[in-house]
Amino acid sequence: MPELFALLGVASFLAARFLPVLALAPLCPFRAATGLPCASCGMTHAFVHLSRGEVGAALLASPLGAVLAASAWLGSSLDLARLALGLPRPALPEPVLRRAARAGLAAVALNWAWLLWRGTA
Amino acid sequence: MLARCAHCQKTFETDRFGVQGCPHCGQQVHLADPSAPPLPPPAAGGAPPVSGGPPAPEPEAPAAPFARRRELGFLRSWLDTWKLAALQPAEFFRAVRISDTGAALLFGVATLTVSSWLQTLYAALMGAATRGMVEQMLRQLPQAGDLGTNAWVLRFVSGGSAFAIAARLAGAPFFALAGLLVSAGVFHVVLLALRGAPRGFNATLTVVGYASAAHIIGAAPVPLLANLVGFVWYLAVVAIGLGEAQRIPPGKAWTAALLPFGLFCVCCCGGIAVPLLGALGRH
Repeated sequence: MPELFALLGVASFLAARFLPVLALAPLCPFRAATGLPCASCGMTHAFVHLSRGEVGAALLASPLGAVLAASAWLGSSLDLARLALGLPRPALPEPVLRRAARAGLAAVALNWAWLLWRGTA
Repeated sequence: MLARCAHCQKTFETDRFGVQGCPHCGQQVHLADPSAPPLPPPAAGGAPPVSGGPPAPEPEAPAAPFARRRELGFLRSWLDTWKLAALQPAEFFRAVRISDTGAALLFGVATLTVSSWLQTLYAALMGAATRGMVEQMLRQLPQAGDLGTNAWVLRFVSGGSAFAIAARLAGAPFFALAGLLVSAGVFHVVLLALRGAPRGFNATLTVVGYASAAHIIGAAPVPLLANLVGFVWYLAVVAIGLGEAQRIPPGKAWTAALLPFGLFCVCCCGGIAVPLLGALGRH
């Protein structure tokens, strides 16, 4: 199963780098209705910018999106390398996973707050 | 040392005893410490004994009908699983085997793909009518008065070009697989944060895969409404399924199911509801 996630990470990089995803990116209904960005606004731009090496533009579009893209691609590369070398998957203890999950949810809230501040500033 | 998982029977390297996750199947395994007096000593010459999770090993759960598709036939096993997952989710997810995630994932991909294919074909057939309705909705959006910027929406709902239809038909299984993995990941992150994932990611993935049964409702030829009903049904099945499969209280399960989609709903349903209510108010 982790291999599927690694392949998904690779696919997201290839799509962001080589497909015209920004031309197809949908209008955010929340933004259209309220004028304010939603929590996931800017994610597609962040993925596309980061796939082109434009780190600053990616962070500006969505800090969480940039971190998510970098983590996904780094994690996918490491997992595929692990598979190629035939190494076992490192098992993280549940308390670490739980802390990471809580940090992730907090990051979503912070990212949205930042997007709202930037959008209204 | 080398340990063997009691669930998937695969071996893995570890440097400690006690409860830990199997890196292959994600199940919790308990590696008995041979120096601890109450526990029996390890088997001579082999891997340390492992048991199937705290506090006592559970008996092997029955496989879902779809996991026995070779024996029952694809269509019959799919239909039997659909009935159980969509109509009796509590009983089904309480008893279903969670180590067979491949079957759950295949069921979800097959269901979502068929649903997407049918929706694509309906969109192509009913394109003109749907286009008019969506065009009217888009005009209500305060920040989207220029329909030119929403040309892709209109192309999408009206079925698009033959190439676009072919691309959507061909890409449906890949989008289904990606959607299942991402949504299972999101649900699991919330479950972990709530201390609600005692049976690991496999249980969450199994629920998300089989809960996709509800998405077939979205394939009914009723624009917008069918999708809405399918989506609400899906959320209810996920919430009930997570509660039963993870053995957690309903409050945690419903929170895990609704929190990500609450956010999604704020983004999408809210955005759609505002112009709709505005349009209704004018009539």
